[in-house]
Amino acid sequence: MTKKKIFTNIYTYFILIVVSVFLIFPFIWLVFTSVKTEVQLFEVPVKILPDPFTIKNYIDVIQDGSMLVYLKNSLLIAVLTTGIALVISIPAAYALAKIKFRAGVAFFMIILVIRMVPGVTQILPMFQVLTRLHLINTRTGLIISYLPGSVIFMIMLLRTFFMEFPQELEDAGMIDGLGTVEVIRRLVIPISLPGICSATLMSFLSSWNEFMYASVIIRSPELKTMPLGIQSYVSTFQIYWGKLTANAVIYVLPVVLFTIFASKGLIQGMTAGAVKE
Amino acid sequence: MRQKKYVVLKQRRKRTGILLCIPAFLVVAYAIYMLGYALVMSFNSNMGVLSGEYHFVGWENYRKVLESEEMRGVVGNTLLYAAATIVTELGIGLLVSAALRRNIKGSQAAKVCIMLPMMMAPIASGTIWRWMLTDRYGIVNHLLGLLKIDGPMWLADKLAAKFAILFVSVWTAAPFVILVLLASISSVSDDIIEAARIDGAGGLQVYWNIIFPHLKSAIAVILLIRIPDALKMYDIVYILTDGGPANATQVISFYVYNKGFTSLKFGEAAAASFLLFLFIAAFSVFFNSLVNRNKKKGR
Repeated sequence: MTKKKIFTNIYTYFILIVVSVFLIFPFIWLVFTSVKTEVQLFEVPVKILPDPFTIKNYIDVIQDGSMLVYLKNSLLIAVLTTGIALVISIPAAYALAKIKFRAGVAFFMIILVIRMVPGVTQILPMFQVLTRLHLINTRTGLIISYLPGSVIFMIMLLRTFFMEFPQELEDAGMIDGLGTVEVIRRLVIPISLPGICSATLMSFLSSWNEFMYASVIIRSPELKTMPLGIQSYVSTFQIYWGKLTANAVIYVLPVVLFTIFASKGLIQGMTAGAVKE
Repeated sequence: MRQKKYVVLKQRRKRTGILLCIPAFLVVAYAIYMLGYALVMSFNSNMGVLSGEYHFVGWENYRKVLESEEMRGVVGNTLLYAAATIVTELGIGLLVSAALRRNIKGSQAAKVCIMLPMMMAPIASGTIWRWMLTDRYGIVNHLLGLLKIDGPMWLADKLAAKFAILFVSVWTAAPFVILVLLASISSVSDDIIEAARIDGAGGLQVYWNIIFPHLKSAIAVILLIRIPDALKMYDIVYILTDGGPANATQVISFYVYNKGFTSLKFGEAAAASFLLFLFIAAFSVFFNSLVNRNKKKGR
């Protein structure tokens, strides 16, 4: 029995380690590449450890300054999109979860259909419309084009969280004379805070990571978001891998740190919609 | 009297519901408008879209798209990727979730490792992999060399490029599959498994007869989310191979994007993208009804 147990344990750890290495190695390689010298990058055979260790790439990237602009744009756009989407989605998700009305059912059906529309189907007409409205190459235009996706995603996720909100509590609030808006603000939001947080994080990340819409809507360098910045490094004739990876590390680092700290909540939020049916 | 009051309250509550949905509805209406606009575009001539006029051309755009040789390759590639990535992901997901079911030491750390690729921007993951797959300076071929395997020119060879795309898309999406399966598998109660063990069931028997049936609904959800996603893939192809070599890795989103924004054939692009939408919608509705029917049968 114990022998068998040891064997299954070894097997378990073996799979865990292999999969974790496969998933993690690119991150390690990214960091290693960013602290190597340009000469060392093109050595054959490849040397794994950075030797000599250098932070020149980071200094170059920061001195160049364009990266800070990209970061600022990404942050601004992701924060605004998520903020606006939150304000719009919370009331709607509450209404769809808690109030029975025919218009609500119809609205939810529409949301389900719109959710299936591929990004590429949306961006073709969006480009035409935004051009006509003179919103192409503006941050406003990009935020407008991110909003429907974020709002729909949030409504779907928050609805499942709000459905669990205890009816008794809501009734008690109503009896004490709270209006619907007050009920949402004073009762629903504080109690569903974990769910709201994970919806916020996921929506933030999807704007922070988005590339296709941004590549169509944004043209001028001073408005570019981080994914566009990385892409502009890759599409040049000679790729400066050292600087590129330094850029990527700075771009990815907040996400990595954040994942490590918030992993429990994130996993719950991500799987909540999928597992409960 | 009381009856009347109840009706009034109910009416008021309905009205509140509608009011609460109005802002969200405006945003969704914008998306609906875009969808309608795409439909109109798909019946307009390419020149018409560019000049802002309307020349109704009937099914012309759809005919052109469906008849083109290129489109056939693109559709083939897209379906192939979708199928291959999802089968691989599910395989990895089932294996890892089974391994992580018991809370062993270090499984929380492993979960964090598993999550990371998923949180990354596809553009960034594609970039890293592109560097790792470079043919002389790339780490992947170096490691293969240590095993005495001569690595291919990953991004320049037709077949190898397909595998590269498959590899990277599995890397980005497997975490989601693993985590969903893990959430579902951890709700299998230990008592049932213990009981089966006592009755003499072996490890594989326990897995196949007890754990696997429990995972079915999670797998259905994964397919419902991941198949449309895989059909829409764009970023990774863009950054890794740019559709090359010789269109070997073109997928449909990529094709539509280039047809529109590079060749400026917006009519045809809209037609192709609308076909993609219809395909995804048809798949989702069909699959959903299949799952629901099975659920009813199960009861």
